[in-house]
Amino acid sequence: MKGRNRTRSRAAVELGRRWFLRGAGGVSLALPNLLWRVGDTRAADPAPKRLFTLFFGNGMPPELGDEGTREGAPLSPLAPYADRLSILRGLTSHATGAGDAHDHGAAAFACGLDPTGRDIKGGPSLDWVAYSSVNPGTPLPVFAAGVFGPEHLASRVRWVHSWRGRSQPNLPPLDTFTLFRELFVPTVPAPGPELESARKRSRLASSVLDTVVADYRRIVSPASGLPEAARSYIGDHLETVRSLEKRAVAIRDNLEGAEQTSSKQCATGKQPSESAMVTDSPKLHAWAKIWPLVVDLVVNAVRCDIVRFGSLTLLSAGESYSYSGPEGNFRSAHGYAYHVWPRQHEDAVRAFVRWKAERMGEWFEALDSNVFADAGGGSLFQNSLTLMGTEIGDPATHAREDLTFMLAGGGGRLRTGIQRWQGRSEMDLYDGVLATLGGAPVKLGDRRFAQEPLALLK
Amino acid sequence: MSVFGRQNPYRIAAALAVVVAVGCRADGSGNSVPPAEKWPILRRPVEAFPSTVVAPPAPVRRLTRDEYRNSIQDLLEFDAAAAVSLLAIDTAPDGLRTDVKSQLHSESGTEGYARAAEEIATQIPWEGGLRSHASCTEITPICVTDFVNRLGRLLLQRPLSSETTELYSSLFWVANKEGLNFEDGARLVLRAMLQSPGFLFVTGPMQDGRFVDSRTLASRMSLFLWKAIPDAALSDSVDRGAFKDEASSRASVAAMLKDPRVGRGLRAFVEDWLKLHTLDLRTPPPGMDLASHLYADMKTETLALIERLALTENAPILSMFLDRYTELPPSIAPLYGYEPVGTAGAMVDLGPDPYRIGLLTQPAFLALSAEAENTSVVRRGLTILRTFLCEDIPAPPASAAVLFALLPDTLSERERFALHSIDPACSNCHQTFEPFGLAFEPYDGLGRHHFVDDRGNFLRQDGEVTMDGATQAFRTISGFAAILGQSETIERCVISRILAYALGRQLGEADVGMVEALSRSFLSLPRENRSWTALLELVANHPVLHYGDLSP
Repeated sequence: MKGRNRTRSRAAVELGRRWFLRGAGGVSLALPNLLWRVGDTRAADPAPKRLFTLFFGNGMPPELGDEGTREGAPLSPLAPYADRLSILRGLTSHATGAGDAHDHGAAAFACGLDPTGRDIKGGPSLDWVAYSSVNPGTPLPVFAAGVFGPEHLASRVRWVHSWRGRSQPNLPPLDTFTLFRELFVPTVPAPGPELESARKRSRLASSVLDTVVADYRRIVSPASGLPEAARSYIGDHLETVRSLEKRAVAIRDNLEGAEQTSSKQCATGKQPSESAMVTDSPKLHAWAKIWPLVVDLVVNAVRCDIVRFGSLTLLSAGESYSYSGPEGNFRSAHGYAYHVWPRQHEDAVRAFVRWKAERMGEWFEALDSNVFADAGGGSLFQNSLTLMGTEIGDPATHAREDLTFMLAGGGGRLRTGIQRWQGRSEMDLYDGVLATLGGAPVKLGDRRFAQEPLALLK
Repeated sequence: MSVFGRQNPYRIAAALAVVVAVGCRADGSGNSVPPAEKWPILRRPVEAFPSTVVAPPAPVRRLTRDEYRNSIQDLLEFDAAAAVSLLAIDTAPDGLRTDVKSQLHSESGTEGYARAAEEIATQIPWEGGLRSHASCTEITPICVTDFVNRLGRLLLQRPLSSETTELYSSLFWVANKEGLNFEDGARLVLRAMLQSPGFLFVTGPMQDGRFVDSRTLASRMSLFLWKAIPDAALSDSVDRGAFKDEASSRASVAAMLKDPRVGRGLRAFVEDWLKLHTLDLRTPPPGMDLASHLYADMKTETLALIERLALTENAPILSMFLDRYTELPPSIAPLYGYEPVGTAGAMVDLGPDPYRIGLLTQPAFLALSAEAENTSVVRRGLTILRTFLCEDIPAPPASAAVLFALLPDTLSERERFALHSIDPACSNCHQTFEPFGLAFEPYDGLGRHHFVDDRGNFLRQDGEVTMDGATQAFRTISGFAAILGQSETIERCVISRILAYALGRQLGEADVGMVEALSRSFLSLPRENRSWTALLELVANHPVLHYGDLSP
């Protein structure tokens, strides 16, 4: 298998003084966790349907996508996966509305709608529509994770790419400790008083949430006498409470059966012993250290079949990062390198794109690891679909034409290599992605720009 | 690295003319007229809108973090600071954290409510705390029902239906089944109620087909004026008929304005209006021997100014620009160039200092619109435009950053502004706001005054602005403050912002008539009577706050 078996020493991750550390205190905690489902996907036939979206910020010059994954090309870190990788060139995003091109393009990614404000995507995102269509019954519906800085926190459309619907973001945590807590509930206590105490706490927590959900149901019913708009608004909130309740029930049920199932291992792997986030002065080298931790957590959750759909954010749209490398030092990947492409700093721009491709490669590698065998003996990478994209085409102009997307995995059925779809809407891409999953009853995005689904499969 | 030398202004201008010709046009497409939706309602003539349009009501919204904490304090006499830290941070691009559009529904946010509720329910004292809501403490139907009804009326803002009482009472039976006692059951009930929509959301049933009921109205008033949901006393007054009609509403508002919690409510609005809450995310620049609580102290100084003028002196709103005193925290004094005076909040007379006057030269305001060690004519001009004039401009074109990168490092801010004005397409944008930033050129992002910048450029304060239809020149920051201190446009802007804050939504075209009517009422007062309290009363008594949400 290509791209496998490269080892990374988590202990070697060194976190600087400006990094905020919390969490596991250096102790690696073995999985499984309390959200683990009884049974696993290895028994599944055919392989489960999974879809992950990966947004990378700040665009990519079209010429670099045209170079493919050949040696020396910025996308060459993806070369080990070229036989399962499709580079989709020339697509167009039509979103306009609040904010600037970064806001528009980022809001449209995996959604296809104008933002309704700089912090509100226009509608549900691809991962949610796919999840709703497949309805796999996993403990978590979707995940959201990633690395990005605080520069554009006020513009959520730039860094949140998983939306249940308008006004319903699935926020990626800023630190890996929170991500771990959201994906897993660490450690089943050993049988004894501690386990009994945990069981009681989980029963009480579940009862409290049952009560809260029942109260919400009462409020959102017409009998409450509330205006319809109020009931609808509160109903959106209720959906998140239901998710919380479902999680609490899963924890409770797993704890109740802990003695019977604790011997089962849903996957091999360890929780990273460090937890980190960058609080200020984001630098690419800092993200490069945190990204593998994020990837490992998410891949472990996928192995445990806690979640099959989700969204990764690799840098928020339009964010500035300093970079130091053999190609030179530049203060802002956004302002000083990209805006003036291709007149200046070509080496730096290529290096920045390569840096992002390396991070994508790490995601592929973790999914493709032979440590875990998925249904039919294939890897998670093989049996999943990852859609990668960005908010603008040529960063020099911030145009939202001539965009580059990539698709990876897809059970070996993808049309690989560079696929040219000049002028076609990103809507057709999203429709094509949903078609590979068997279609979805809900069409997402602005249908005015949809022609027909892109033919993504061989 | 600059491609231009300092002695080459004409080459710079030529380069700008090329780069900016498209980039500085308002919509980036060659059309110099900004898109209509970019411009606020205050800029348009009232006649442009049909008079029959009725302003939309206040939408349902969630409590903000501050409202949550204040409500726990008022209702349960418990400081929930630790619990509130578990809630998602309220973000609002527009500054107003009450704006329903900024309140999204995320699972992590909902989990924050669950964790905060658990923290409060665990930490609140029993004796002298939660116990006070129980008439008896056995797990019997009488004791349980009584406790649930008492706590529910307080937290859920209305008498509970029998169905709701039964729902929350069931948690006592859960506790009993687990071998727990009444206190444990009561804590479970509290934990659930703090996650209930009746506590977290501001809404209520309609009456008379158009208006919200008196309890919902009391909640809206309490959140607006006190920044918390109604306490037991206010709920009791609703039981006795408060807010049942216009006369009782006016009387209740008048009574609420006499409560000291109005200071808390006013501070909350000012914090949102000026975006002072964004200072919470900042840390002082390293290596400058500054207090870690510097930005918090900056905020305190500004809020103290407004509160003193509003509630102690009952001064006109615009006096915030002209006041010559400040309650100076010791950590801030060095930024003024002063020796720290006494203890926190010592009153300092700024009269002799020609570089300090009112809000505009306070470090908080200056810090909001510039990085720590720099000034920024552009950002400060934009801040004046957006904060005090309620106007905005379109987002800058992509090429603006190229332009910025090409400007020589040696230019002063004023010289950069002069270059912007050379090209007409460029000045379409920049002439709108940059003149408002000129007076601030000598102040860095910490609020310190300088005579020259680090490139040797002499820093000036003079300029010329168009305000209220008249072009007026100024030579000093005091002169600029005097212009702002007379502006009815600013008073109108404050009215629209406080109205949006009270309603919990952005204003739109349907609100033009309402804003205009309120403005006429307020501006008809003698100038010396145009105070914060007069404005709060005017807004609180406006019928729009009585409307229920009729939208389908």
